[in-house]
Amino acid sequence: MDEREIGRLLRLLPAAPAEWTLTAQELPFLSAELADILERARGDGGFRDGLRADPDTTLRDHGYDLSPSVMAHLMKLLPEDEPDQS
Amino acid sequence: MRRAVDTEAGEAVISTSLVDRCRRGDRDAWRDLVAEYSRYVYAIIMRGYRLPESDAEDVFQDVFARVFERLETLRDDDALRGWIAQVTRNLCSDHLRRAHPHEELTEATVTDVDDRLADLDDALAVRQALTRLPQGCAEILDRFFCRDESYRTIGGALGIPAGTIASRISRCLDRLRREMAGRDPAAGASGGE
Repeated sequence: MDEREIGRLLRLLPAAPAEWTLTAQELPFLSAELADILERARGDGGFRDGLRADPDTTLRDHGYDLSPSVMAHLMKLLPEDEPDQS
Repeated sequence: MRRAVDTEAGEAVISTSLVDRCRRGDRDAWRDLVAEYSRYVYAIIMRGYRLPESDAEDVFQDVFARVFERLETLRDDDALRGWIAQVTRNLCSDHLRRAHPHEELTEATVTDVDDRLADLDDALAVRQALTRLPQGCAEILDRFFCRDESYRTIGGALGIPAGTIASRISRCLDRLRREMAGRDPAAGASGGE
């Protein structure tokens, strides 16, 4: 394989965004924690509003310690219009 | 993935593979696996299926979540790359069907994807060989080929005279070729460039 072909192939695989990779590395070990947070968000309007307004502080206040990338992923999973069941 | 090691009795045994360690819930192993395949999965999603970046991250996360969940079902650890590619392809196709429910994935589209993915398989083989090189070699090749850095920039960053960069690249390319051919007696012996 000549130099040009090696260079071409190396350029075909750019690094994935670092945040994506970090999240993928952490998520499988946080599934129970995330399910717990989402369950809580569905049933507790105050918690849900707090998450939307200031996820970092809200999660920390409730004893969760998530990395920024996982937190960003969590926010995407947050229910939009779940009724408050509390 | 598996590595044969010799015991004192001269028997070859299979060392614990990365996949086995992932199955046992070893976080470090899972980090390594994601690091090894993240470029590949990203490239299939972005280059193979050309998903928009806004959708791509969800598919990327779904791929690794599914791989983690279903590692138990992988019968042959050596088939990991192909299996990850298939999981990624399935999830990309599912995504496209959901996003465009009234459009069929045509045979031409699938063939295009196949062609692009064949290239990515070769690219992964080169990338994996690169990661097995001594750090200095891997870095100099990455900077030159992937980041398009000049000799001067590389020399400045690595504290190496710019005039020696070309010859170092040439030596490292030779090592890379040997690594890809599966015979690199020098690799690991000298500790790298």
